Amino acid sequence: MSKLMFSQSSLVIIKLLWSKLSKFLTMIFRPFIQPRFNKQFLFVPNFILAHTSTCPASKPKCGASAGKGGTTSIKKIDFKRAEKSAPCRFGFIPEEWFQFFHSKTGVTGPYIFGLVFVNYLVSKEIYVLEHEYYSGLSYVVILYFISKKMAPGIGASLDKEVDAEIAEWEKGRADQMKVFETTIKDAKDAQWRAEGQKILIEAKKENVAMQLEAVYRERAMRLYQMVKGRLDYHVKKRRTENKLHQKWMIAWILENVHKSITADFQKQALNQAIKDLALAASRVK
Amino acid sequence: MAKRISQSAVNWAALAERVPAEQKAHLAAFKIKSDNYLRRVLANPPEPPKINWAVYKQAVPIPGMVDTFQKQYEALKIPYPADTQTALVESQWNQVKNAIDAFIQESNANIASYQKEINATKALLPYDQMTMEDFYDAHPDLALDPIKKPTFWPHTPEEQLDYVDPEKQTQPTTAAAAH
Repeated sequence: MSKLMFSQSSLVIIKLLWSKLSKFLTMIFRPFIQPRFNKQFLFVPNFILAHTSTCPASKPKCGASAGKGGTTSIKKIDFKRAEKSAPCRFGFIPEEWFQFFHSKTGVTGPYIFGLVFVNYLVSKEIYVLEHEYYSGLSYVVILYFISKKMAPGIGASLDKEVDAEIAEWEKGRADQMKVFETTIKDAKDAQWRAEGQKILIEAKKENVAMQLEAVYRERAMRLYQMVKGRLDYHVKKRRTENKLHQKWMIAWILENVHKSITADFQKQALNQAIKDLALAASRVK
Repeated sequence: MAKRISQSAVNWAALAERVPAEQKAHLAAFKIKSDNYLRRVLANPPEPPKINWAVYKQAVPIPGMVDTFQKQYEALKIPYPADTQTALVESQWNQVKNAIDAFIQESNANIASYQKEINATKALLPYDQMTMEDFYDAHPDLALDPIKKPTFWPHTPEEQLDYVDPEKQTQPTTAAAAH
């Protein structure tokens, strides 16, 4: 009875395990079985495919699970990528490991531990000093010289390339910003210019008013000139008439005077004039 | 009587400042017209000079004529010409105003979208701190995307299956043109 119970319970456990395993296998192999898969069928926790805090919200979402509030659940992490690796001793052992030992064993602790550990590995033949070990020693020497002599140059030239590429990208970004900013500036300028049409309309209205005013003034002046011209005409006419009357009167008088002068009267007048001259001459003597 | 006008109140400097460079010629033509109108206005005094009736009464011999002239002259009022164009200008202004409002609204929308772009560009990580994933987030069109658009190694356009050599493509057309 108890055997049967055991076999039954073990069956249940095996079933459970198998279902878990199959799920796990599906999860692992699905990308390989089905090349154009949809991420929604990947049984991966949300936070793995969620957006990072640095993912710009305006860009189209890259992860399918972003809809499930992936971005909101991520805490804002403010750190930079390390450009260089952490400090280490002997060129390869991380400084952190020494720090780990420092509080517990003092300064020499990690060294003693290292020696003892290597001793243990070698003496128990866990690490076997076969031919690969000895060629490894020569590799170490060669790598040491390479890293000391040639690495700075190689590193500098590679860094230069990386810097050039980054500078290009950053320049692209700066250019884009400049384009956007000039576009905004131009748009604002265009708005300002468009609002200037108000002045133009004012000017148009003023033009209309000015034309009306001009016509009014012309009409008033025309009336004035017409009336004044007629009056002046009468004045001038009278003056001219007077002048003519005078002229005629003088002419008539002269004519009558000429008519009244006879030959006798003329001789008498001449004699009288000669007499007067003689009298004048005698007075002068 | 409508409002009288004696001199130009338009700030031409401010208007010229706002006119785009390619429309300066139109403005100049408009200004010449406007100046002509102003000159026409200034050619005559706002009110005609007074007629010295007493002098004429003495000088003109016909009795009563000057009196009737004076009476009629003073009775005659010059009507101020009717303004039919200002309403048209007003309606034009209404249209222009609507156009300006629409333009400004559109322009503001554009500015907002560009501002958004600026903010998005500013929010990008510095490129030297991006991982490949960050780069994908920033430039989904440029980044390597093996899921949505898988490519063959070395992921250059020349090495893809559907790549068409532009030189080979243009060759038949040039050959056809030669025949």
